[in-house]
Amino acid sequence: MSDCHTPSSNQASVVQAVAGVPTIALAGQPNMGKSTLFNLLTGLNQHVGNWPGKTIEKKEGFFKHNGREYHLVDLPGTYSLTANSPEEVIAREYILRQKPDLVLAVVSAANLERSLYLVSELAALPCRLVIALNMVDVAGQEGIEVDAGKLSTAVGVPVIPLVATHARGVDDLLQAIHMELQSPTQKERSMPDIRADHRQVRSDLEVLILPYLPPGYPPAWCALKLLEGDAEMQGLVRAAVPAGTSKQVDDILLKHDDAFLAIASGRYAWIESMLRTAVHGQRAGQISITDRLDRYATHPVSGLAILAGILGLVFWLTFTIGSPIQNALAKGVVVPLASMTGTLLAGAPFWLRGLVVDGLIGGVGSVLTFLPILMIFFGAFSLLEDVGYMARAAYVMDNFMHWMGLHGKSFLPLFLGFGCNVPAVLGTRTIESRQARLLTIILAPLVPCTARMAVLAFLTPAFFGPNAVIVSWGLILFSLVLLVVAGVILNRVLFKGERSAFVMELPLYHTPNLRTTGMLVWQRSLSFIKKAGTTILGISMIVWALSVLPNGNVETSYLASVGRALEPIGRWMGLDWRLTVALLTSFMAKENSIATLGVLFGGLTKAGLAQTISAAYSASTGLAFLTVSLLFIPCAATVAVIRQETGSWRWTFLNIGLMLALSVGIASGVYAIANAMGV
Amino acid sequence: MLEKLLNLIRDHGVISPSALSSQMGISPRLLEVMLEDLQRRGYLDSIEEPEACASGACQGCAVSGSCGTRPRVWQLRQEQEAVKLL
Repeated sequence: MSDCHTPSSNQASVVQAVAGVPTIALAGQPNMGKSTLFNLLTGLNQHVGNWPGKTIEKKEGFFKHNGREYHLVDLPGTYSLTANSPEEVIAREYILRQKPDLVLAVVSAANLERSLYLVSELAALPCRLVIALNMVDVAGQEGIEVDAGKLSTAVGVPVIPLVATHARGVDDLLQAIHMELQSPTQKERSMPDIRADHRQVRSDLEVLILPYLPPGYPPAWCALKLLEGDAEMQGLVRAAVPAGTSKQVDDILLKHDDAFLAIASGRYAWIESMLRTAVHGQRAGQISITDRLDRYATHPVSGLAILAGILGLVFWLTFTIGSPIQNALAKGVVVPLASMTGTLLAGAPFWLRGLVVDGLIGGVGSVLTFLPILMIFFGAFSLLEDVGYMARAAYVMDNFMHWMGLHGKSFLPLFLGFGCNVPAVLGTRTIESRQARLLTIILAPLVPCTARMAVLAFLTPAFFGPNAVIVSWGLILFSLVLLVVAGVILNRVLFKGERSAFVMELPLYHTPNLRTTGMLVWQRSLSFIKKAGTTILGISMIVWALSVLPNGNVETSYLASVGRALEPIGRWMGLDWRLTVALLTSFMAKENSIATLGVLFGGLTKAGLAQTISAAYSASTGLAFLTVSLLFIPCAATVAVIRQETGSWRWTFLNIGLMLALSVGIASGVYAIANAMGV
Repeated sequence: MLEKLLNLIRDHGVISPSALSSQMGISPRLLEVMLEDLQRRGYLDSIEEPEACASGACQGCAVSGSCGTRPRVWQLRQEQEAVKLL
């Protein structure tokens, strides 16, 4: 093992190892502290170049310990010794062909699961090996204790604890290297197990390739790499063996093309056994609390019940606390402000008084009185998110939809839609089939995004007062059922019932940070106020202008004309022209329906918008209006993304048409049933 | 171990790493390494958050902040695809 001290002559290196100076190769995965250790040992006595024929950096240098000099070569960071990347090829070629006197494997005590795969491969090579167990301090902070002695006994090589960033344990490490070079460990190394059938196949391959392998390549190791599907090794063997042997090798590999799983499984079983022997603690308490809670929160049945309960609780909190404040603001601020401004502007031109009192205060003012409701709504969702529950909600629904037979490639994008329909439409990019993608895009607006839910939180108390919680809860559940039914039909039609499987990561539960929640509520409220001052203000002004032109009478205005033209359709749902127009304006932004109702009602009454609406419409009309609002054509931003993603106006209008038909059709049915039931 | 892991994912349809690691009897960290390895080998696809969430495409929405951080998701590839990649 000592014929490789000097870098080969074709290497672009100015470092010339002196004969008799042992060479140590530093191996390890990225981010395990390998470079820190290299710099610590070599200091300024190092050279940086490139590996021959590659653009990958090569670092080598010298250091002294107890009067002895050592040559240190920093191998590229690698996860394994399989040729998945140029770095892995360089590392293994160096170890096999240059034969350093010792390989120093740097592993992280805080991330031993990740580090040990490479060690399992290095242990199988005929080289002297020492393990530097780095980052023991970080592991300690995380409650992980690694017993270096037990790990050493289990692997069969010296293991030295180290904190390279603080130069702790370096002397012990250098002493272990010196000892290993003087008298190598005689213990038998522990090796990953190989399945019996693969062991036989490996032997067969070994016999076939043995006479043709280049010097330095251990036949058993090469045979294993062939079985693993290592492309580099397959190329090397094909180039070296005669055609007949090559065919025999190919035949064997074809028969055992699943061998990678078995071989890698053997390595993971080896890692698991090493961990069980040498590692204690792993923040077990925290994990077990999460596991205990998840037993219920992610259970297919109790998880759904908890999700429905939490949704109901959010609406209950929002309405119980927010509605009285909203009413007080409407009666105590908006109505007096409209009255006072009307008096102040008594002498002003008609259009100016109308614009300010009805357009500005009636429209934007009405929307702003709902801010307390929204803040509680935002706060509740921020808390659920911060605690870690929102990921569970998605998981439970995904599980339910999988159980219903919905194809995952459709439902994953759909579930992004709970935040906003825009990413849901963009999320369909993972679907390869254009047909499936287009139909999933059509389904996306059926997801009740948080903007629609917020509008529901606005309007339900206005129509239903104390029954708002049960109505809004029922409407959200209804829209989810509708989504699932549509999804199942989509799956049957497009994916022929084919199923897919997922692993979804769930964060640990943790105590919410009230400051973070407060900041989120503040940012979202601010964003809402900005929207009220721009989009909603603009639409309110237009709605007001259309409501007074051409002769100052709302009943004969352009807006009334548009509303009355559509009223026949509106009547199917029990909507008069005012509600029909309010629905239409929600296209630009969902909140505009409230602003429009504010313009048409708010500034004119002393009771405030909520009570005026409550007095003006029956419960069945209210229910139909909420249903059509929840399912209505998506907002302008979503429509724009649908156009962009489908690249077709035809599909965009088809989507609008379908949502229009579905929302009007279902709301008409809801109105008819509610009337028949005497609601 | 990897065969058992793939079978569990296939059988459950949707499963969390925590449930998987407890059924496999291994630590969640080792499971994560195995999932990443299967992803590198083409048995699993990692589904990333759509560009829209990072691009600010839904900034106009007053409640876009409630999108939050999406969890990491791996999807099992169709077997024939996985074999082809190997």
